[in-house]
Amino acid sequence: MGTFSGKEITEKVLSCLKADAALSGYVKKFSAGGIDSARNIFPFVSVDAVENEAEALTIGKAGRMRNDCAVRIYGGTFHTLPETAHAGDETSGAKGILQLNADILNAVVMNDFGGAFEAPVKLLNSSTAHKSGSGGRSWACEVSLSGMTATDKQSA
Amino acid sequence: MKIDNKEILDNILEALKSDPKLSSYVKRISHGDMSVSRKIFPFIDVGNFHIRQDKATTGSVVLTYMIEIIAGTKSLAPGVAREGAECGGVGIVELCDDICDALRGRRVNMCSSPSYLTKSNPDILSDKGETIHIGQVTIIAKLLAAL
Repeated sequence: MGTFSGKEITEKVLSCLKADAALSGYVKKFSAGGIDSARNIFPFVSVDAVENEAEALTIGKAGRMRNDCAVRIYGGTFHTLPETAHAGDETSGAKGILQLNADILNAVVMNDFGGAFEAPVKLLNSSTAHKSGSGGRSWACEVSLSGMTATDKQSA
Repeated sequence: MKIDNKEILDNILEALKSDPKLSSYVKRISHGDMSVSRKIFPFIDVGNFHIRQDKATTGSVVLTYMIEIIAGTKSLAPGVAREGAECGGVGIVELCDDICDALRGRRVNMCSSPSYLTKSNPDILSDKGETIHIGQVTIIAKLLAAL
């Protein structure tokens, strides 16, 4: 396994998001784990689903292993005006999902999260979608990242 | 340069609103409003943004934006919401084509490549009597973001 556990990586990603000046200015809740919107305070950011993958780099026994880790970050906004929930409102200063998504990307893309990853992470995918049935009043975004956490020796 | 989705949205809305053909018959061009029951037909709505990182160099990334635009038409006459009518009713097929014409080759951002169309599907959704037709146009733009 890599140098850091899944929990430590989650905490490092979360700390990076909390320390971001743009996000901390308006995000009401940073959390690790679930994105159940019924319990969230909007706008929110949640770090979830750390997935580890190990791959042997050599054929022989006791060769090198490559450990990858994927992290998903979720964000959510809510506003009774769908256009504000989507793209914010400059007059009131409310932020929409497009700004939240961009601010998350600006905070995490090409970041190694304080050495948790051996190289800057790669953005796998980022998507926005409205919550079904909300008519656009509730929007969510998902940012998926992946990076190499360590190379170490396989057990013989 | 920072990633700015709002700037891209504004450029797309500007391109759609300034298109003479669309502005002659589209009643509402909006973003983020996903409730069909509140719409005034024909409408265009810019919705989901999908972004992925294509390749990275030291200090910069190429971001590929896929932006979904939905459109809708309504007519009580059979087939008109989809195909339009010669007496002036515009159908979803023509509306999707006009959206493609308005956006194809436009730059959505100063650092982006000209956008190109990936998919135009006029048959995303229709109601039982085919009085309402919803279509979707997806455009792609590649954007160089130095971080």
